[in-house]
Amino acid sequence: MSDYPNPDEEFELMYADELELLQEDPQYNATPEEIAPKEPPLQNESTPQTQSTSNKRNVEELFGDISDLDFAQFEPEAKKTKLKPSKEDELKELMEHILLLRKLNKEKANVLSINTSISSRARNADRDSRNISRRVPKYPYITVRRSDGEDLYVRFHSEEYEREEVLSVVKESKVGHDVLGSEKQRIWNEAQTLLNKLSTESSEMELSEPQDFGSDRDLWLDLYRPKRYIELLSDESTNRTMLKWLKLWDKVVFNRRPKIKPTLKQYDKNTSKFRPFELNTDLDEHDRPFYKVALLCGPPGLGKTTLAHVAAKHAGYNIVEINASDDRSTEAFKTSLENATQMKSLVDTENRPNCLIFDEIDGAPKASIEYLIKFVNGIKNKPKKGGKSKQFILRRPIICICNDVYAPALRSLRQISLVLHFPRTSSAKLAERLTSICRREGLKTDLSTMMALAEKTNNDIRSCLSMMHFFKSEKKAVTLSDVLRGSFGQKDMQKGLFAVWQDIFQILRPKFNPLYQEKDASKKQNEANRTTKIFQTISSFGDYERVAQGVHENFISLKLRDSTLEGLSKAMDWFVFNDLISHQIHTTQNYSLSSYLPYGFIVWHFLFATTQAQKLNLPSAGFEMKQNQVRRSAIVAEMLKGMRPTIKTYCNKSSLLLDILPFLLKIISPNFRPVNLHLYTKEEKDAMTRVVNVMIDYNLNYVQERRQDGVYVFNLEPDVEELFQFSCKKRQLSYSNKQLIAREIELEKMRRTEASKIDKESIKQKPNHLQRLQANAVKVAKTIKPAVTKDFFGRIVSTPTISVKGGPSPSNRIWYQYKEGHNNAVRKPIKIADLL
Amino acid sequence: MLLADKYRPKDFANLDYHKEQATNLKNLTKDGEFPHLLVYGPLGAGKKTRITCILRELFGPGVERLKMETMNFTTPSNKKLEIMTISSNYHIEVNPSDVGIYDRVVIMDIIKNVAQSQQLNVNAAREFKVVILTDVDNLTKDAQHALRRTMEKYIANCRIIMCATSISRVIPAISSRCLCIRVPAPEESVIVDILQSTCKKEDISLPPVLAKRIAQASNRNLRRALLICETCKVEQYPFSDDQKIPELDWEVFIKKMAGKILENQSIETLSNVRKDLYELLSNDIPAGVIFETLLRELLRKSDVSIRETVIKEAAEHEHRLVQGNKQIFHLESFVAKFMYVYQTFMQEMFGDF
Repeated sequence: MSDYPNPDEEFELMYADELELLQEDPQYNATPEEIAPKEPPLQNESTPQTQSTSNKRNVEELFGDISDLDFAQFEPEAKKTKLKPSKEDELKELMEHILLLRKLNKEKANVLSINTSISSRARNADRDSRNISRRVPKYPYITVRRSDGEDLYVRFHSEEYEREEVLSVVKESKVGHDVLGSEKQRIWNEAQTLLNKLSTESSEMELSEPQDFGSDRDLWLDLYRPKRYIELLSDESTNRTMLKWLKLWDKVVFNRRPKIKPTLKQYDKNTSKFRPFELNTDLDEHDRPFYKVALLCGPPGLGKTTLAHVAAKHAGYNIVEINASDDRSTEAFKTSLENATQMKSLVDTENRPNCLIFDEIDGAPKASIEYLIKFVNGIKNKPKKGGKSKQFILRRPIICICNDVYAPALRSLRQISLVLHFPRTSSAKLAERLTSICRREGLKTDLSTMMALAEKTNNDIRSCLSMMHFFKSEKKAVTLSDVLRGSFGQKDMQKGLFAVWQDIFQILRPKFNPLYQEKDASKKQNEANRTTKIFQTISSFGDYERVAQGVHENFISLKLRDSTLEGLSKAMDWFVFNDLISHQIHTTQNYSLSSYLPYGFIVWHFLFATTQAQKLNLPSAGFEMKQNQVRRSAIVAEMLKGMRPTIKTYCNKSSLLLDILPFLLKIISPNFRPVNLHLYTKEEKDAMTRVVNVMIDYNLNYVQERRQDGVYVFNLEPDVEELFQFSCKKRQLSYSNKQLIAREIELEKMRRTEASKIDKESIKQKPNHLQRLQANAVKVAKTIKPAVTKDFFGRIVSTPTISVKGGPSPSNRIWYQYKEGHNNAVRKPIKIADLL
Repeated sequence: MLLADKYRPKDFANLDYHKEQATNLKNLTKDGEFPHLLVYGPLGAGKKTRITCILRELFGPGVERLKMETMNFTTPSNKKLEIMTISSNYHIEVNPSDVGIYDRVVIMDIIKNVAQSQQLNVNAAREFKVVILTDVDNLTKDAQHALRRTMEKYIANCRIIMCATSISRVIPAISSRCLCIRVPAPEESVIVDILQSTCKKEDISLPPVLAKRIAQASNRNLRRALLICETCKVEQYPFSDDQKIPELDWEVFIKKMAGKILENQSIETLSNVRKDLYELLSNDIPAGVIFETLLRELLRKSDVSIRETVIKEAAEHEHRLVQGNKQIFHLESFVAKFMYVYQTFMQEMFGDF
């Protein structure tokens, strides 16, 4: 199989791999007897493949799918069959099982042949006829395990099972898995569709309707989840890489040689189309693939989880899934990880080995992811395992699924894993699938509607299906206008900033719209569409201010369609409006106003948008302006801070900026001769002192700085020269002048501080103990007033009073200071007279 | 020292103009009942000079002993702020808009601080202190509302003197609580006289023609006139009659911008103008001043028939600018509107020919 002669036929090769893989599965799945009679010689690629797939699937769907436990129960029986093939007939149960399988297989093959291949018409016809005959006796459903009539038996079994399940067990099982009930429903639906296709009986169709409504409790999403590899919708190359990677584990898991290797290499060499990712197929010393972990990443709704499940099942693994709904603390994570990977010795060799799937791993705690990495790389010490003292080696594949591969927590995991980026499903493929589902469900629609739906939902399979399910439950047909008009299916998606701007500045070419044939109507509709589109984009983005900023800074440099000034002023009006509103919102916290904000963007879109893609830049001018402003106002603040208070009272920031500074810069740079200070004339010296004084008053100084080219320059500090760079030429002082001024300023400053110090000292009182007492100024004149003595006759008698009295005259007052022992404690002015 | 600072009058007796107002103010201080004041008038008219005169009259020469202090505040959201204050023993001066939107906190804190502590100096002439708030027209609405109650509540211990360029942004609740004193800009002849006298004191001979020219260039702003005079002296002395009078950089810049707008009306022009506007705004030139200068320039060149529309648009845009946040939008919008109006007018004119 693997040695296809012609490697150029990509298609064949593509299937060759799968064929090979698929062929292996049945062998492993222990149902070889079933294949043997049915498998025709391989003439055609597609048909046998589908058949074999369905074979395998049947086993799984019936037994394995319910839960893995069921399969395990069945497995021994299968083994028995293998061991004792002669007793087949005696084992009634087994017989029934085979018959059942055969029937289902045929039904499926039919469905598939409609969907995928037309080549095996002959065989289909044969089966179809049997199908129809089988259909009719199906309704009674009575005979249980008595009759060998396959139909009767099968239907009953499923029905009963479903009832049981619904009543008791099924609800506990995982949500994502199909229970047998839904499986039955699916088979039923398939059959219905088949009948609708092949026979023209409308009664059948009507019969099926109520039946379908019974199934509404199952989401279509689960109902139509791909169960086989070929049903996958996701990108083919991604699927293949995934499967190949899983197959690389064969050596260590199943002890089989992975057979892909040679084919893959050839294939890679010769084709360019299918080589988005080169899988490293080398095995390490433990025969494991190079990457131990596969990391699937991509936006939601593309089928990552489905691919992981299907591929793992396909490769013959038992799936152990851990997702965000499970406890993912490090401890729990550890337990599940060890359980899943180290159980090999306990599990029967015929059973399927485990494959771990970590869904939504980007939400897992970092510690858990670190543990996973450590685990994958091999844990050194494992003394718990009695006999095995050597390091543990991971022998099972692990698949991780995430939305954002660049989440910080995943950084280290990314390096050791096979990263598979999920591209978007092609709309055509998706639409085709959707149409086929519609056909099965009896929902009236057409391919173009489905295309529109797929595009509208951004190829999100999940939302497409939910949407259709909704329409189905509403019992109406899906039409193109429904899809185009409806507001459903669009997720609240965060677009990038640039994408939003692009949306505003670019008119998307109107798509052909069959609903609106007339030109006017279509134009109107187109405008309405554009309006809603912009509105939605903007309001889902939310950060109006940044978007507006971007529009504001970009529109001016773009080639505008409408370059009249009227449009321009209208646009500017809207900018003003938006600014007013957002300011109001911010100051009053009145967020109800924010609903008015998006409309400006619509106006701008209609004014500025062109059909060509425009080159947009990140808005920076506003930000730069802000930064400059902050820097410059810091300079002004610095200047104001150091100004003399007597001057500062008289100038505030605005007067400083508007009036003083522009002139000040000129005043402090007079025309000095570049000579020594001593050679200046008197006028020049005066001018110099004036400059120095002014600069000190306004807290300016020159500071020497070294420029990058090694030249020393004197710059103003604070650098107010930076403030007014209005491209006007300014006279600059020479270096030596600046140096001179700087020195003079320093000197003057020193002088001033010195002066103020002296001033202070003169004012300042001495410490108490150094103080000398000072005599109060005695009023001299009055005391000496000569006592006029008069004699009896009134004549003045001059008496030599002074000499007689010898009293204390103010000039020779004696002060006594007690100094002995330098004791200052008692000190008191005493007169000599007191002592005597 | 600059001439403007050096010869600034320190008391009412030395004031050069508005003498009648000066006497009124002087009489006001003599009375025991001194009200809150709101002094307003254009830049360089002498508001601050008059306020200092009042202070001196109230408290004597002690108010000239100024010291600068940084006061620290904590907003309710635990943000630490600091603001420079200039104070003497009798008064404190602060510009609350230095801290932007937190001015309310500053106002509440300062006034409460000052008002709650009584005048300690028993010998002081007055039993109240004075709080000087500058740039009141830039106060946020919150701050102004915070002010009105405190103004009444603490009137026993403090008086508030506010200083603003325009009363239009002061809420009526505040202006009604104050005695509003308008200080008009000095007339050109007064400026000429002052220039002459100042130069005489400095021993500079200023030819009358040049003095007149300087006075004209100063736009009735005395400070600017004195600065121009000093700059002229630095650039060329002795003076000559036809000497080049230095212009303000930013004004020249705006004039150039207006020239661009008048010359060609297109989106490219707008893109150029945007760069210029950003440059102006980043230099902290107030948007109102830009509007005013720009409008003056544009009006000079535009026809009478469109003047009314242009003025109306400018007024509207300026009004919205105060309400909004991003000044560039409003300035640009006005430019675009003007270009549209002007172009339409020109087209009609040429259409007639």
